[in-house]
Amino acid sequence: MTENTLPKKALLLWRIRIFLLGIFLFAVCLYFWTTFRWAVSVATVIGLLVLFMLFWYLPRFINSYKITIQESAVVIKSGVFIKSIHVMPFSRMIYTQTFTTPLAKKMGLTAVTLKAARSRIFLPEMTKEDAKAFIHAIGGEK
Amino acid sequence: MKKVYYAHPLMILMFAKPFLFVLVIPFIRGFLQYITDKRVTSLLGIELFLIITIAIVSVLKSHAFRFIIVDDNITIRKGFLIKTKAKIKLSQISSIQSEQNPLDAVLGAVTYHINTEAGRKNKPDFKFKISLKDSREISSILYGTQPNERVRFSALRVAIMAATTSSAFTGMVIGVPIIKKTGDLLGIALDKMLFDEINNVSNKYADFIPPVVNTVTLILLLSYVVAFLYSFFKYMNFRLFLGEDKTEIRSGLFVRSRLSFRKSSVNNVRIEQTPLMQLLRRYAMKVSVGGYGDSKSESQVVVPADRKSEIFESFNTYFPYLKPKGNEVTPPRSAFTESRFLFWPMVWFLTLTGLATWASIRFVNFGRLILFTAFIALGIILIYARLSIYEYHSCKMQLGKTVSAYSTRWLRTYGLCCVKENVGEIKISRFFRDFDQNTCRVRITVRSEAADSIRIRCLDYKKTLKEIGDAFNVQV
Repeated sequence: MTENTLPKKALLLWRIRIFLLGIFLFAVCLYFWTTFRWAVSVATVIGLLVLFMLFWYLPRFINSYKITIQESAVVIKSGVFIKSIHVMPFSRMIYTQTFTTPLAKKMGLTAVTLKAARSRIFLPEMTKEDAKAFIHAIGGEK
Repeated sequence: MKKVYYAHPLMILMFAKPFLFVLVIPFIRGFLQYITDKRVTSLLGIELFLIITIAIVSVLKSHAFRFIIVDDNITIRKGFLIKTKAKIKLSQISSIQSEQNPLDAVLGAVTYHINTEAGRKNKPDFKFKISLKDSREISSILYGTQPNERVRFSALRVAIMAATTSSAFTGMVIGVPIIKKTGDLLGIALDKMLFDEINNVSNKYADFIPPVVNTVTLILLLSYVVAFLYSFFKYMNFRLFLGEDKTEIRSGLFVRSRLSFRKSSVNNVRIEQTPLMQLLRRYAMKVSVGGYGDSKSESQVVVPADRKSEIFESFNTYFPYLKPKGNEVTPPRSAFTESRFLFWPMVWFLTLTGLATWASIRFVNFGRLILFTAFIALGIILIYARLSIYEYHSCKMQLGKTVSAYSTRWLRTYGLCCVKENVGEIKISRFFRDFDQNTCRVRITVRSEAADSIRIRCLDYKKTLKEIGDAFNVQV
């Protein structure tokens, strides 16, 4: 039984994503602020939310991921406010899918989705080697 | 062994297709307008930019596609900026389907569908275009060579199935978007022209039947014809290949479809009969394959129309669960039980009579229309009543190593057979009359993504509990 966590790079990747999204939304608000005064309030809220995500929520969320590969199932624990435990028996798993964005590729990371009938589990980015080993361990690849 | 397959160039068109009507056609129209009137809209430049962008993205996406087979795994790679890579064990593939439309046939391509039980409902898990040669090679690697045993169904049988299963509603769903899109493409109000023509014909017979009835009847008839033609051409050239573990179904005239699946991927078999099929004493047999299907169910027609005895004779060795095993549970055969089956037809009849009487008094000017509508509704209620009597005589459930159940569903007779292991849920429920009659209703649901289910009414309660307990080794 091995327990895996997500790498620090995944946190950095999500921080960059959230930061870029925040910048985009901020820019949209600034563009409209001469027409709609309330856009300033929206921009402030977005700014505070982005800061909250970057420095409080994301580190805890990424650290909350505990992936345990057991004899017949994979157990994934995650969550900050709402904690969840996913158990997916290997017998029910149909296939695995990896998902790589250009930024993630640059950092050597890839996200993994485990697909079973009527359900799927998304795992945030892990290193390519970890993803390969993980898929190998759960029997999705030879 | 490693085999790599690439996308057919037609896949570029497949990616760009969703944008054809919103971008390419308006652009062509704008461009033609520029040539004839020397007038150009301000959007033309933006449209051209978007078309070029979409074309480049489609080419790159098509170029990045890979279908790789390594030993007993397949890998599907997609995307050039955002890349996805799916790895599937061959044993987890429930079915594969290839479709070839006339354009594909000319350019030697097929649309290939890979289905598993994990995909999104009503959509294939993976859909792509590859060359015909590659598709044949992939199919033989995934499912072995083509089975020898071949059953061919005549055009007449296919026509019977098309005529008895088509509905005006399906015709509308198919026909209306085609008329709308063709009208948009030609720049004429085709739908209005068609409706005016229908109105003209309707008014010719206005002396006998109300014009609105004529119009509705004509629309329904036209829609039915569209549905019939669609179904007929879809299933024309219907051929069934039965192998030891592989089943292959080929059909279609303009769009040729080929579906392959393992016998072990079949969740259940359905034997159905529409009201028109009941008149002709023919049945259709369908199989439900996990994850397959682009409609609301996972079923595929295996026998378009045949006698029940012939279906059983031909297929009971291939699908052994067609031959029921175990004790039969039926409703008690008594006049009172029969009246229970006729309860809802009677309620509908009384409601219709009351509503029609009230409406003809309240809306005197619409008397003919109300009478006509009431007659149609009465016809449907009579079919329902006849089917309820059939249900009383024929509904049953047999549980053992295999599960088979017969009942009715909507206006169809309906039978479901499967192996015991494929049953997902059995629900027993009891209503007011069930308590004093010591009966129950049972719903059997098959374990699947878009599960089939069957409901059997008025079964003997104690016997049902015993049979379920014995079959599934549970204390009920």
